[in-house]
Amino acid sequence: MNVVLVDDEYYALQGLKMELEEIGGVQITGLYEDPSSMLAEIAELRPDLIFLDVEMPQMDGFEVFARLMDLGCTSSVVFVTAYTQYAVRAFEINAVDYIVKPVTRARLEKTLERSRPAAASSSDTPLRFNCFRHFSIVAGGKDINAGWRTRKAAELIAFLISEGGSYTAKEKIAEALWPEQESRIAMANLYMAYHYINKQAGQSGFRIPIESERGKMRIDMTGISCDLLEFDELLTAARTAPAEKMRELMEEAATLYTGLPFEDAYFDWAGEIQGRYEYRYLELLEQLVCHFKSCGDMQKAQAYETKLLIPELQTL
Amino acid sequence: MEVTLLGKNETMSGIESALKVIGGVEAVSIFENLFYAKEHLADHSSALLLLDGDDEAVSWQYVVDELKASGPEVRIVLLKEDSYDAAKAYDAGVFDYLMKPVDEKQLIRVIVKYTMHQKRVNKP
Repeated sequence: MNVVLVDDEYYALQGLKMELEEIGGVQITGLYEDPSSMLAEIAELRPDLIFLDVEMPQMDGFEVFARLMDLGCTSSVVFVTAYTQYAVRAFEINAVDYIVKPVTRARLEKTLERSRPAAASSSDTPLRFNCFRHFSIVAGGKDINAGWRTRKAAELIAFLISEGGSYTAKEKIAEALWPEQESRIAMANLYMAYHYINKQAGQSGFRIPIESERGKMRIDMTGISCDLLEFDELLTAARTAPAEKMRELMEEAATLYTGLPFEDAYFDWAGEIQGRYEYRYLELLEQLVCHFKSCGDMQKAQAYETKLLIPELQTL
Repeated sequence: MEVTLLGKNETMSGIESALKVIGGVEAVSIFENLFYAKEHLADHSSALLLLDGDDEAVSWQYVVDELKASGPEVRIVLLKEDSYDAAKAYDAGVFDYLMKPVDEKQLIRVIVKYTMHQKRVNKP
């Protein structure tokens, strides 16, 4: 995250710089005692975040903010001031934060955390769902699926993924996950699993975007990468691609398939989705065999044919 | 967009009427009790929760902490008669702060702020 600091008091500026450097994860690209100089250079700097003092002699922080808006600056602004009375105005102009001096490290850490989702909008996809064979949820390079205390949390996430991001009636979800329980108890278990996921994911710093409303639930797949979806997208793209590209897309899809969806999780409800993807994969192998035979690449044709005929080799 | 109101009925009913006139707000629910509000939030994806911060019976900071700890992410808008707690509201991670009497213009500002925020958060 790139950050610019503006404060007419030199020692306040240096103190803030020091605290931010010690917290880490930020690059301070500008330090200004004079807001006019900052305004002159802001188009080039384009910081994610600007820490702005309020009471300054040449122009106050709100005037600087107005000038930033006039310049089309989209940086988020945090006011840093010794005075509490400007906070309502800060809310009115949508300042990301308002810190009352003296600035503490804990308070700064909160600010950086609040600012990060906006600043990190161009960063890599935060979550990845791996569903073929072994179900895992990877966030920040770590499998967070292994950390659930209750198996049903992972199962709920898997079920919602299998519904492809569409809203599903809660009764249907509860019945699938707790088929032997009375409806009332199954629904209560569902709410508990949902709350547990939110709490645990929050503590680990990653949010599983499950939406719950008016008798239905879904997982918002926006911005999440998932091998099941990628497999589907590759096959769809292959249908209309020119021959060379089609081969490439189909082979890429084939490498994604490492086994039945959620195979090692033994979810009772997973039979339907497993059958669906197995069928698609076998069809894909047949298409690859035909394609390579028609190209004269008999070695590759035979390799895919072997996978087709010997199930144990299908995911090698 | 669904909006939840938490506070005394007489305070919130005027706000409820104003929200229903503003476009884009499909449902408004009013609760006087934190427990029932939390139950409602467990079952409904509420975009915003407007909290009356002047209830002498319970501190708004306690309510905000309880709501944030209970799970579903909801943006809390604090309604107050004065500006004294605005800096503390920022500390507590409150989404917005409106001074009473709350009018339609303020509500529209909050809804626009929420919409812009969601666009930034969901940007690919």
